[in-house]
Amino acid sequence: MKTSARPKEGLFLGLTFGLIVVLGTVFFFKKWLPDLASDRVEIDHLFYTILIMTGIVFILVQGITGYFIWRYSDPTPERAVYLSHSRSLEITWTTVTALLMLALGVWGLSLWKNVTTGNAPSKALAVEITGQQFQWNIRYPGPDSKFGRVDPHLISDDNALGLDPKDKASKDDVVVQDDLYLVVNRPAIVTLRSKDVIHSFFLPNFRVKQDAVPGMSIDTWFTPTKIGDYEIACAQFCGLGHYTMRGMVHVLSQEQFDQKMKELGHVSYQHHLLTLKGE
Amino acid sequence: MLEVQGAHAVHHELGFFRKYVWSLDHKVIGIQYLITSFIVALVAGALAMLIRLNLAWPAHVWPLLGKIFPHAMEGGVMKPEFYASLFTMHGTLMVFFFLSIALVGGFGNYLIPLQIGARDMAFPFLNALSYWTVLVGILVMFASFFAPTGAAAAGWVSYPPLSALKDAIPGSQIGQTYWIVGMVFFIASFTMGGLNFVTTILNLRAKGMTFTRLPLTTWTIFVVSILGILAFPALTAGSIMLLFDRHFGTSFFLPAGLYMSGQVQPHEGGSPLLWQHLFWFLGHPEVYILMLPPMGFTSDILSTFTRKPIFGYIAMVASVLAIGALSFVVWGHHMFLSGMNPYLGMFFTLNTMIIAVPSAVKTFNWMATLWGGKIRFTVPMLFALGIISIFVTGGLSGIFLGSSPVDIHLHDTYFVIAHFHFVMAGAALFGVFAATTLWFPKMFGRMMNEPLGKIHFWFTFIAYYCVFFPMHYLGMNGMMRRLYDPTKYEYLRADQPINVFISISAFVLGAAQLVFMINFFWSMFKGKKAGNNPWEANGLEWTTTSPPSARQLGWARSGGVPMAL
Amino acid sequence: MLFISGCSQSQTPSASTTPAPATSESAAPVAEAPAAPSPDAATITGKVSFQGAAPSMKTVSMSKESSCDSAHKAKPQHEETVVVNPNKTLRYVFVYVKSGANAANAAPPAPLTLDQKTCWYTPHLLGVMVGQTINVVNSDSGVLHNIHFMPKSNPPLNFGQPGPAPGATPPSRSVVFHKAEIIPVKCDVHSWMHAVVAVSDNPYFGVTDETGNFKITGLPPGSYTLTAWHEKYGTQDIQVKVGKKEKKTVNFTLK
Repeated sequence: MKTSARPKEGLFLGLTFGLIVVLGTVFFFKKWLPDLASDRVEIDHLFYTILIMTGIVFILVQGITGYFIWRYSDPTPERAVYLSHSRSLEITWTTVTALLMLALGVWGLSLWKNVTTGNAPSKALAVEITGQQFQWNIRYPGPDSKFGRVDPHLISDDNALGLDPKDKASKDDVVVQDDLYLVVNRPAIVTLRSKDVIHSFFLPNFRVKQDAVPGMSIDTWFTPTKIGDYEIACAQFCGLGHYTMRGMVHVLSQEQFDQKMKELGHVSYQHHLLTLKGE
Repeated sequence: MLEVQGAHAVHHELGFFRKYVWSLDHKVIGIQYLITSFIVALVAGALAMLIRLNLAWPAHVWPLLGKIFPHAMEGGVMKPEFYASLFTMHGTLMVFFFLSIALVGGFGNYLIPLQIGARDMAFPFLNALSYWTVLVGILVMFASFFAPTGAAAAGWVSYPPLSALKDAIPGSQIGQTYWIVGMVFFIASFTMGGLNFVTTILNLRAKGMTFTRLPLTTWTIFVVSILGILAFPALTAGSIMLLFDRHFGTSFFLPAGLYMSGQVQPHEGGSPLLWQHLFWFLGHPEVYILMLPPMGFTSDILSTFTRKPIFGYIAMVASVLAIGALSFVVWGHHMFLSGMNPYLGMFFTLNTMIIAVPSAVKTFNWMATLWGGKIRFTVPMLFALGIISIFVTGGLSGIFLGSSPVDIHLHDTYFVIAHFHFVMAGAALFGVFAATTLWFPKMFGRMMNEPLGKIHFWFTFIAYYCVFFPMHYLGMNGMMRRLYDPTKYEYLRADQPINVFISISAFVLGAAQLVFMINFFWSMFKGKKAGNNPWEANGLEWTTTSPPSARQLGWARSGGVPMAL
Repeated sequence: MLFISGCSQSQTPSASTTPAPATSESAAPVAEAPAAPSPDAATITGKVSFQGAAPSMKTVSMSKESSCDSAHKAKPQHEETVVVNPNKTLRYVFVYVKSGANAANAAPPAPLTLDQKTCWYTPHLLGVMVGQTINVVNSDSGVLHNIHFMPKSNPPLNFGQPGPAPGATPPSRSVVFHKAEIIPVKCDVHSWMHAVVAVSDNPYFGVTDETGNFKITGLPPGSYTLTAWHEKYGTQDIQVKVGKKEKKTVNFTLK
């Protein structure tokens, strides 16, 4: 048959396409997404749906292309098939692709709407996180549930956020560096700010990421669902120490959390007295 | 008649300087662009090697490199700010000063008049000027490396305040100013080139070269020229505003209350997001500026080496136009998490999903072109087939990123790096190789060495997958981009062997490019002589001599430009 | 002993006070150019006492950097903004000749080292002369520090310094300032790391030690304004006159 006349290159390249498909697909079966510890499970569902869909397309398109490369490799001067277009075929694949993409788009939209817009949950834990080169300043409003006024002109080595000592609401604010404490199964509203450049607050295990932009306060909310310690990363390049801008999230039970706040409040209060004395 | 007159007008011999240096001939300018871009690519590629070296073995001591870079790698350990300069300049040089220049400046200049049957560009002087302008831009960019505080280091996107506050990172001292000035030169050059291309294609086509007969290569370059003219001025404005913020105390991108170096900065009222909008308003069309010409090359090459017409020519043209138009309304998908209004994110998600449709149509058309063909495995054909594979891989990962909720996890991770190195950088790089190997005989009248070309292809194709495909997994696991040392994070530590694998593959990929460079320059002088049409191709450019004489005299001798088709 | 008329005391909350220009009354001309320590040179020693209750300094948590954290486990590190010695004296006070010195031909003294060790600057306050070399050293293996000098009149300087490989020689970079001023230094990676580099335009300065003592040597005979500067308690000026080979004691009190 003619197969033997086919140049080896077609076979090799066709096989290479096959190899790309096989290896590429096999490795996707390992679970790469970090263990989920929040309520954003729908993001994972959408992710895996897209993965399966694009996976099928990947296998088919690369596979068929590889097959064609092998099947039609033929350097003989005979005429090739003449085929300039096929309206029905073109209309079909355009329509199918468009419908698929629209479906994915609409699913994405509704999920996006849930995650980013609409009303923040009530009874949520409020935390304010302010990025700076190269640390996360984490502030809790304290027993009065109010964040005190901050003024960048008051920032000093002792007062990383520039808390205004004249504002009553700021007296009980608790400020810690790089350690975020959250309560399991209680929604958290994180307000992101930045002192200097753009940072990005990234919780790989929570499917949470949001830029912290100077001059803006950006809210994002989610519910931790598993007790444990997880890492906070900075995802937006923020300077030479970008890669050291690592923090920890500690998801605690409500009792543990209250205890922790008491300890921190005490430390913070002491520290506050010291700052005021220095004025 | 006209042709003969033209022939007489330029028949006197030009001196070496006018012929090869300050030349107004589109072919010489195209080759100037191409060779300049190769030099930039070698530099930018070397930067990538250093990036990969550090990612595989973070903060390792390399005594020899310590001697080469006494400040940046003091004691042989790479400084994080040098690492930042490396990825900033790698991105900037590759995207703007290698791929854009090679694809649009190089092949655009060389091919447009030949493919449409024109004597030269509409404005030859403007054409030369655009080359010399971009060369100044390149020199300014290179000068950034010699700044005492190092090259620009705020990323190729240069987001303020990092790029605006001089004390934010060492590279944001004078190095960033060089970056801005270099970009302004680049954009100025591209605007000149774009105007010239559009005018030429609209006005100087030979009789019978209708828009439905235009080669797809020319079609794509026509569309990207329009994109460039419309999109680039936004960044010119942005760059100059950034320059003012940095040096003249304005606050376009800087809000009140910025705290840096122990004091509140004297700025108020600006928005860092404004820069992102301006940058990506250029940046996203720029991505398609790099992708469309390789799509055109692929179409023409597939058609030549399958011995078939391209399947669905009209659909191909329509999809190029659709991609061009849609590329203006998707820039926000780079900014889903930037803090812009989430409702805007919905608009951009939908547009991004839609832009996948014309891209898919192109792929299906290519597959249909292969079907029933008589495939000849020449080097350009191998690269064109590589483009299909790489473009499909990169295009599919784009669906994840275009879907805003999924982008929450994947944004700014290696998934993004993998995505754009396939869909944009990879397709464009393979496009440069495919086009160079295809049109080299026309440019220099000699063939490139085929065995060397095939060695280059195989190493490049396989190493490219080995380098960039595993990055998807890293990104899914959440490895952030622009990370000097991933092992700082516990959850990334287990991935380090993958980084080592990627780096070793990257060195192979880098070394393979030297084969191409040697082949290119060696074949220029020593290659086998090529006839007018060594590939038995159909384009108009193959009907004249190789290389075509100044003002395409080959056509004049044979009695004028042959009718297209 | 303790003297003095024409003593002014001011307190500034900011650490970045620049030395004030010389006052006319104290601008006694000095003829000799002290290129080499002259055989006539005088020596001033003294101590800086502290009045009032010593503030308790915050304990630094280094949990962000585990290697440094464990190094300080046994003896937690306190901030060094105010260090009151057991004998009620102040450590890290910069005592320098504010005016009266002619240092046009003075050669800068030998290089000094600013070490970053277990995520802490040693010393906390470094006094140098204009043109004197500072060797910035990172002794923390595997730890990135950046050294962010925040000068007002000198050009800004900020660079990263990755730590050495275990057992390797620590990286060292030389830094020189050419204008006299007090420069706060910080590490942005470890926000608890602060130091001060005090740059003097003459070689006549000293820094108080763990007993509150300082020593200024090689001073040509003449009249001078001597200033003590502390980053929290401000400055105190004292007029002094020294004769040939005189060994004088000048004491300051800050509160």
